[in-house]
Amino acid sequence: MMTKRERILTAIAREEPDRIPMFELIVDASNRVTAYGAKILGHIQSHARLPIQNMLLKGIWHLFGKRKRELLLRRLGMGIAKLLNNGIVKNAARFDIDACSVFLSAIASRFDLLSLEKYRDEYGRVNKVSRDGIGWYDGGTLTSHEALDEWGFPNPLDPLRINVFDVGAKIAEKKGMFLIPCLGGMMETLYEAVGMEKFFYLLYDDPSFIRRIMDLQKRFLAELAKFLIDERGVEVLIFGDDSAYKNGPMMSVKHFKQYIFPRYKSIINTIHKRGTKALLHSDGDTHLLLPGWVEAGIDGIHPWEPTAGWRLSEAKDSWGDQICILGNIDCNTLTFGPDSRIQKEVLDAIRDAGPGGGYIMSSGNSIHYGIRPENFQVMVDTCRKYGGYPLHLPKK
Amino acid sequence: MSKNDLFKELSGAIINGDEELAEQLARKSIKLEINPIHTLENCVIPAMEVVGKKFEKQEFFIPEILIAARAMEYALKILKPEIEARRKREVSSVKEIVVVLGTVKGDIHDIGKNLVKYFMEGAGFKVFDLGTEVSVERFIQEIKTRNADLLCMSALISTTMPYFRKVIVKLEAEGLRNKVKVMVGGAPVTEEYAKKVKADAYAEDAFKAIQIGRLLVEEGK
Repeated sequence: MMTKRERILTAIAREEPDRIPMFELIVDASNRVTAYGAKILGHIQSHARLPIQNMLLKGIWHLFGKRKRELLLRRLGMGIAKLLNNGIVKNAARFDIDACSVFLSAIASRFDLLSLEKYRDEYGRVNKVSRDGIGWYDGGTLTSHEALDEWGFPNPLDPLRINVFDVGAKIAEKKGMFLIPCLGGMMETLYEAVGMEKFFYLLYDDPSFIRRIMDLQKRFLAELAKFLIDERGVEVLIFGDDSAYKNGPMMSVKHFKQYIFPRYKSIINTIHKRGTKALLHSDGDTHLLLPGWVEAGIDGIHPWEPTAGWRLSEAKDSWGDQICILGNIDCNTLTFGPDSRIQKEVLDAIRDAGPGGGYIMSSGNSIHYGIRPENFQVMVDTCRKYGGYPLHLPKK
Repeated sequence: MSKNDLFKELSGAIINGDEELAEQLARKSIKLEINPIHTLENCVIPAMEVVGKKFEKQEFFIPEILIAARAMEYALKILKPEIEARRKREVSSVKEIVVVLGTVKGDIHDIGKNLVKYFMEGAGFKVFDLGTEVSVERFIQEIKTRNADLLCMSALISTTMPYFRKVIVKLEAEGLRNKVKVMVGGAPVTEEYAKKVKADAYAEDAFKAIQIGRLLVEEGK
């Protein structure tokens, strides 16, 4: 029997492992508490998390001076990042899937508290904590050369970032999970940092700013990748880079060719030279972007979002001989069930993308907080039951 | 400059997203005493239709739509006060469809919703954008206050889209369901799901939202 690491690496090399591996970018923490019957704990967590967090923030705000406050908030930011990332690894391990991520660009190595419900992170992104304790991106602030000069750009090797990775990696090792760190991306991280609409305006209004921030992000991604590979032995990493919406890319292929693909090519060269593989996650209808990503050297794409029109059969037929396919059990099905539909989708996915290897099963986005863990368990169990090579699937 | 030349140039300025030129030409149209309602109906709206078609054919993407919508807004800033004044005196051939638009409660995603707003405004709809995290009560209140023809709701995550049904149930309870058409959209939303929550229609993108929205309201009258 293969190890989880071997299974993932074999599939990325587009070969057949012993069985179809499973990967999730996120397995939300709130799933675990419900999954294992501790509903009271779940209730306390979802209803008391925000008041407790607010109390802590209020205390820090009122009791300490500016310097001490910044230090404490930075620690709190790191604490939140660790909590979230460690939660992902532990939850993924509970379901005994093969691989999961830790997020290294969503950490608050800088933590600028704007109000008791809003904070600004290292990329100048404003995040809002809603009443039910769920955090949402709420807008960007790096809107000009001046704003960027004032706020600065994140340090890829910030000790807090490395610490978040190390702690996640330690848990992954203990739990036997294969870890695929998520570094952020060339597109999503930046349109969030700038603010989505502003970013798109600036493509026309101030291309020099777009070039500048793109170069900074390219350097960030390359430096972080180099460190993780050289110093921590990372064998696979993933760029989290939502670049498309439901019906197509967020900007023209011309703009992708101008700003995104060449920079990815350079980063991926750095990664490949060290023998590591690079995956990319993007929601949406990515049809027009696939040629550019593949040409840049990407080794696998996730998650071929089904509600944006992707069918795994098409993904495998069109791209399966060049890249690994990771996806795409519909999150709507995983949210609403029923079990029979989940089982059918898993079997169809194995049938469409499994033959010949080069396929890693995953949801069509992530196991977000709305997905019932029981439903995810059905997906995992069905893949485990029918995903062994050579494939023997029940007739349709 | 003739009216035709001006319309051609203004249309080009909107399609190419040149907001300064669009504003300048809109001013010029007023100076030349061109009826602003004609400018809106025969130049601005058709220009945004071209933008919509280019978007549909994947010649234009979100940035091009945003700059075109901005150019349109610059032109409308000049034309609107004149149009309001004339509308009181004249009957326009374009029926102003009143839309209440918002992202449902629990969801703060808004770029898709904003694109729908830009396109609808460009097509001459009167849009009341309630923003994000809009509650049932807020939707109902605005529909009543604005006497809306069309309610457009957006959701980006599978856990927030069931909120569509909550709003529709409340519309039924308030006796408003026959007075307002309901259209839904967003990344996880499908035609099948729209039927399930008993919406009147699903629009898969901002351009289709205008076409379907207009059809719904006109057929429903």
